[in-house]
Amino acid sequence: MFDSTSEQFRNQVIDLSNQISVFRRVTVTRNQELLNEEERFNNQIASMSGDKTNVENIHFLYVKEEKEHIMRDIKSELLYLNVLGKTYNDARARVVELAKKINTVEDKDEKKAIRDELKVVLPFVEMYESYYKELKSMQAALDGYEHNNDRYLDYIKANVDTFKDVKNNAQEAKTVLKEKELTFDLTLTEDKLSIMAGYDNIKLDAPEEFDLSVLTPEDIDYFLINFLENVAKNNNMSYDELAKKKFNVKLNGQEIKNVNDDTFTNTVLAYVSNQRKDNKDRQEEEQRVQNEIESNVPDKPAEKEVEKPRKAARVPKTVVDAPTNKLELQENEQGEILNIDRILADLTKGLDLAKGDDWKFSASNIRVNQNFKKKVCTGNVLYNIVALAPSVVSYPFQLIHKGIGKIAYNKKIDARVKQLQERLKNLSEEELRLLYENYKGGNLRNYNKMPVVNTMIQARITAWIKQKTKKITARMVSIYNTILKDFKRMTEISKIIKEQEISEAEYNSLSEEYFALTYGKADLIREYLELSKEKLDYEVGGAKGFGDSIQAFKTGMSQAGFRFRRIPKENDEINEAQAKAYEEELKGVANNDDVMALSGFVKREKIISDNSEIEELLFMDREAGLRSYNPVMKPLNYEKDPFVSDLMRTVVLVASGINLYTTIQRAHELDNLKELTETQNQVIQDQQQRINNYATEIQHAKDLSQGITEKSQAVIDSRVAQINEANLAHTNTLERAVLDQTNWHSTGETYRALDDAAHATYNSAYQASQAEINAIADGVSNGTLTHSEAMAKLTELSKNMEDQFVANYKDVYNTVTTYATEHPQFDLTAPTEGLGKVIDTSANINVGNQAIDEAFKMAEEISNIPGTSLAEIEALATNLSKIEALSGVAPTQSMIPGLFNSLSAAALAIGVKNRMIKYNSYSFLEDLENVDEITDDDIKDYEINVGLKDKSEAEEEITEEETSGLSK
Amino acid sequence: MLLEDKLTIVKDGKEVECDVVFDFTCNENGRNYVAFTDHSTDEDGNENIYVKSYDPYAEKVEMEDITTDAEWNMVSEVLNSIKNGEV
Repeated sequence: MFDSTSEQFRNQVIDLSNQISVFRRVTVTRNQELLNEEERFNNQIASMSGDKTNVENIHFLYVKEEKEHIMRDIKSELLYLNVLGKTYNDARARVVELAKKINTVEDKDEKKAIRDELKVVLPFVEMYESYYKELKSMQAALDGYEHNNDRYLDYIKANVDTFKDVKNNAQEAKTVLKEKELTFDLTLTEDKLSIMAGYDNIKLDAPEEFDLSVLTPEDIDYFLINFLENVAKNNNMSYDELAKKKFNVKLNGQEIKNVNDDTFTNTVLAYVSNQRKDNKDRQEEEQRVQNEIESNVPDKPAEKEVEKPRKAARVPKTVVDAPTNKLELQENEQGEILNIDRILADLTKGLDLAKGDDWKFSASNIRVNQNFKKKVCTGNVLYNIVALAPSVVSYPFQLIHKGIGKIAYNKKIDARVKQLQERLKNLSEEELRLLYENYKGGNLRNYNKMPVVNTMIQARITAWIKQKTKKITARMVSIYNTILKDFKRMTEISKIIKEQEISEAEYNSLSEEYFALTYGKADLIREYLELSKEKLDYEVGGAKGFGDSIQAFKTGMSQAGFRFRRIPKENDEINEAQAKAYEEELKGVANNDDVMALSGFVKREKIISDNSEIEELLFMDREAGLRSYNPVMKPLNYEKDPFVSDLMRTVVLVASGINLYTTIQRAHELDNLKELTETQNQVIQDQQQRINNYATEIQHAKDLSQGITEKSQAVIDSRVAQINEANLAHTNTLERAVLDQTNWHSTGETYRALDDAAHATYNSAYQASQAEINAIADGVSNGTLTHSEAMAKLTELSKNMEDQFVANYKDVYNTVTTYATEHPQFDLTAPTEGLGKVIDTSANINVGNQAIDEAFKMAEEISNIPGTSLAEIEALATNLSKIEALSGVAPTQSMIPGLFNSLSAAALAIGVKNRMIKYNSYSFLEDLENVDEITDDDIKDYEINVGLKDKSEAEEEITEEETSGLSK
Repeated sequence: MLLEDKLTIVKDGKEVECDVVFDFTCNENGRNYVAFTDHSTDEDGNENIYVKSYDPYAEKVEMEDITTDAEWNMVSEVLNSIKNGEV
């Protein structure tokens, strides 16, 4: 049954999109080159050796080979589409069904649901169909393509002398390549960048073209690596040797020397950006001039000179625009004008909300302090419940009790509350925003709604705001890190230039890099400032409410709550410096001056971070200092993150707690023994023996704790290593899988296509995983992620990497088996075995996860008993009286100071454990066994199924059942 | 169940330790409510009790004021039941 929300479907959509992207980049490019063969032929001549007979043979073979491998690629893609055929059929049927349905339903919610589903399914169907058509048309074009020998024979005859020279030059070229420098000729048009690589006047390859609208740094990197690999291979040089050379880059004919492979991409991109900027400026200038010419403004009569009042000094333009009081009407998807009353009316419609006993809140699981109880019951002391309590800065974790496991709703209101929750969940973005705008400042609390409605709306809006601020914070951190990273490099460059003896060439190269790094910083900083304003707006106005923010401000807390603390020490000098730095930053932003903006930004950040310290609270980091600030400037190495040490402490305490429990139990027994046989030396000896045993247990506890600490550290390390290993194993496996030492063509063709696909996937997967790891570390450092959220994310990331690894393995396996079927002359045992090793590698990953599970199981066992610190256990060995005191009496906080630390540690451990996602077993092997042998007949069947071919075009009669392809 | 906890507030810029006097769970919204006192008194000599609520299942526990009538009524009823020896 087709399910557009299933993970399988989503993965298929993503796979198809990736497949198309790789195909277009690799095969379509090659195809285009083939169809532009004349030019290629010229380039081919330049690099070949031999007489004219060989010329035509080589070219013919080249063309034939190239055509064949492109045809194979196309076929491979068609096979892939065939595999997806069932999904496509189902999806298309679903689209038709939904399209019919949407015209018949009246309910707004249902219509929206249909539209949402169409948004997911229709693009897949369209993508599939257009890809299929593209493949077929490429196939048809190539089918009709024939190498015309005669044309080239004539050409060769006419130019035979030139060939001799070219041949000689080519020989010479090869031998002197090592001494020569490589050149790259860049030309830029409206929408394309073209890079022609070569040396001197000899072109080594056809120009590579890039579409500017989708150009990324990775494209340039890929181009360069690919080019260098080819050149190295054809000239008996190693890649590294070639990459170390400096090459000349020509930008529209103007030479920039001494660019190397590290700086190539930045140089190219900087050039492109500058050119486009210049073009844009030029266009704007032209437009301005044009406008001036067109407007006929008569000369104004000379004004009488009057003494004008002095103008105020020009204030740099800020990025904060004055708020407009214009009333903006918002519309929903149906074109109705949104208003708060409409939203609230819809939320509570039909729920029959009325004041009464139903809305009375009831309490359970009440705990009372005994002294307080005594005082209250005497009636001698009266109490006054105070509104707006002062801020709480610390509380014992023991206070946080979960109480009853399940909320015992008042049964009467249960259904209505649930419905209200559901409606709140389904509010659109525009409606949530409108609620937020009206909720700001605590207005909605006083709205004429039932308390429970207000409470639930408040919760919904708070969640929405938290989601928004999380996204904003993530983007801010990303910008911040980019700026810092680039600035660090700029500082390094400055240092090198100032302090080291460098050649002019090196100086030029470093300067180029330096200025390339400044490019675009004003825009980035502008975005950063706008985002911080937006974030503050949410936090102050929304989540906490105005009243709280004033309260927080008064008590010295930051407006976001517990995170920051401002110590009221003022320093005129620092204030002045900070203000000046901010002015510089804003001025740079307003004038689009990258250097000025960057300079001001960095100065301000430095002033702030220099005057900040981290102060730790119970499970909270608080920054104390002259300026409260987001501690993003700290080094973000997750291994040294407080989270990891917290986790270790948790596990250690938990482990020690188990042994204390056992010790207390035994101490209890000991006390009983002592009462009965007080005068017996033997008993005392026994006691001594037990104490000695406890010493062993103490040591054991220490060892155990140490073991768990190491184990847990190893787990954290292994988890991240596993993410990286998955990337590495993936790419190594694919390399090995496609390379048969004896018979495979490793000059390109299928190997290249697979290799390209593998590297593309590996690179993007690797980068994504690294980015994600850093994002998780950032999140913990700046507080947007709690410890347990971070742990869960890390686990989920490693699982996703594994899944992707497995999915790619499947693709490779399919392609390899298909190729093997078509090429029985090749022995493909080696690749198959290599792919088989994937299973072994994957299984070992689970070892790390087992260790952490074991550690946390221990935590769960002692969830109901108090733990203690190691110091107390050590004291037991030498202090009998303490044993007496402990035995039979439940330890209280006053007796064991570390009690609530351990309890909270245990609770944390349990919380983390409960949120960890367990690994699933690998079931993909079963899927592989069902992979069918795909033949040409299958493709024909498919074409009939989807109606892309008439039945009459088919070679065989096919029954109705087989062609329908739709599951019932 | 015993309750001998303390917590710390900031009042007039200073940190003050308070005794927790009672706490409970609300059946309707699942939040815990904690009442505490610094033993200060109002103008009439009545001892001040402050109340905060929090979600015990949240990742990060945040103490919030209570402002709705239903919540206040609930706290008052709990106090009365303690006074009447019902708890």
